[in-house]
Amino acid sequence: MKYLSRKHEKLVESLRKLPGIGRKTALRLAFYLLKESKDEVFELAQAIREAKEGVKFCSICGNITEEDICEVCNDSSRDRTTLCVVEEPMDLYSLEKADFYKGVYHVLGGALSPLDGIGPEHLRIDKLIERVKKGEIQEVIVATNPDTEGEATALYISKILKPCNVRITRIATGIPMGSNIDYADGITLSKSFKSRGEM
Amino acid sequence: MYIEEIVLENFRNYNEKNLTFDKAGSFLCGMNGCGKTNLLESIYILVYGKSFKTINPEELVMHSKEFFRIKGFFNGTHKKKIEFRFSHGKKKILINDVEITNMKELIGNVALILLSLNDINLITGEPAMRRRFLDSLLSLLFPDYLSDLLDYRRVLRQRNKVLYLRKIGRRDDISGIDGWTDELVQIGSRIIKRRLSIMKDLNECASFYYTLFSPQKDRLSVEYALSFQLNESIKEGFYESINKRREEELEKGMTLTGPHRDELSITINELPIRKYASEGEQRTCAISLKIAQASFLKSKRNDSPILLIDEAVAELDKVRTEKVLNSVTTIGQCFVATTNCEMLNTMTTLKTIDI
Ligand SMILES: Nc1ncnc2c1ncn2[C@@H]1O[C@H](COP(=O)(O)OP(=O)(O)O)[C@@H](O)[C@H]1O
Ligand SMILES: [Mg+2]
Ligand SMILES: [Zn+2]
Repeated sequence: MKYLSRKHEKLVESLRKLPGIGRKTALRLAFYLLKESKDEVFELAQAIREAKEGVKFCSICGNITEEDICEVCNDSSRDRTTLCVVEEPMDLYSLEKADFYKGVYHVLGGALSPLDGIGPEHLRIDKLIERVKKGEIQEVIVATNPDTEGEATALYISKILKPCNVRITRIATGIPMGSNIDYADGITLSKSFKSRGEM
Repeated sequence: MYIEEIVLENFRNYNEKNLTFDKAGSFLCGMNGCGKTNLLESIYILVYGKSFKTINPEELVMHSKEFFRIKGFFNGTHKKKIEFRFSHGKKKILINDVEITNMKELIGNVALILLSLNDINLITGEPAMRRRFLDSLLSLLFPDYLSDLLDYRRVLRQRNKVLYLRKIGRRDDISGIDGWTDELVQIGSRIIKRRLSIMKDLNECASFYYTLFSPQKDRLSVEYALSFQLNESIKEGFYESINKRREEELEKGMTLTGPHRDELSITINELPIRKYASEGEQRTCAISLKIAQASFLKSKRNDSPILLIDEAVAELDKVRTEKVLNSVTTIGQCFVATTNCEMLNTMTTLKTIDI
């Protein structure tokens, strides 16, 4: 017997492809799904399908949106001279929830990590240069995570934006070292923005 | 800090063992194979969360048992109970009955130095041995040094990966490397600065002990040897060297400059010890370095370290042995393991425990 069931094995393999999920967890999740009621599971499947079909990435900043352009980019009251660079949409969401930042964003979609096969070409860095070159932006605040990968990404960005003649700042690490932006609370976040420094 | 009591369960050859110790330490006597090193190992594990003999905790479980447990009661600047459990492939460390989630919570609670016959590798071994000597000392002195060190290793691996992929032709550029270079230089310079900051005191301390132990009053000198030329600042020198050696880096597929390539240069009467010194001199030097490390820790941490001395003096003559024992017992709690009880017994006032 190679496996219990071909269909079961296929589900396990699909789950395993998700980030942070190894074979053991995949097996547990698959078992859970098979045990659950049909309604519950189909609802999950439906939610995944609808999200995948209905949610896109904002063509300007890379944020998650159901339209072509996200809510932030569409909001005419936002300050378009200040651009905050974050790794993931979740980081943008944390900042929005903290409700102190009035500028616009640029979502990279990750951080440099050669060990995971991620180089500059996998991040939305060309798009960032393009936006900055248009000239409206005066300050770029780099708010990548304060870990080794986020730091290298910040340093790389500051280097390639140098010729563009904009002010480049890095948020201060009031954020506990090693923890991520999307876990930080609003007060910590707003403090780390206020005490940001030139790069 | 010092250890007052240890409780062993299924650890190596100890089925159940409960021992109490003097503040000054103990003299551990017994024939070969009776479990002296095992006892020292158990104390070491409580302090560092790992053994000095193996990376596989399964080996530490008494044959045909399922688990082992070590409990230690420490006292000194404050009281602390540390427990290490291992069962079913999982280890668990508790400080004052609370499980820790990160090894950083354990390291630094107690300062401990192990002296053994292997210490000669500090002199004759690879440069990595000497870097580790410095790093372990600095990690016990400055908690942020350890996190810089871990970050540095990570950044180094990332940067090396970029160079390596280019070398084997999996990529045809090294874009993104500037970010890694900047971070490497930033963290690396902090590490070098910290290492340099203790060199003067460490050198004085080590050469004091060496002269004390050596009958001819030879002069030992320990200096930091950078892998690059110092420029206006550490940072600038580091940058300059890394830029200059880019071609070579691409050829080899790795980072060739930085604290991971630095070294300690050790000389006796200005001659490199690796090449010219006798084995006895090399052993004496290794012991001087280790004792200097302990004495340095004591003065900078305002806390006495624990010294585990596993036959380390076995190869020394009587005069040196006596001087070494006199020195270590003034620094902190000492555990001296030996098969040569008659000779050593006359030299110290430590209470003897027969194992
Ligand atoms: N996991 C284990 N279970 C039982 N006995 C062990 C285990 N590991 C080592 N030993 C025993 O411990 C003894 C070695 O003890 P050790 O502390 O090295 O002796 P010494 O007093 O010479 O330093 C050996 O007899 C060995 O068989
Ligand atoms: Mg032994
Ligand atoms: Zn947008």
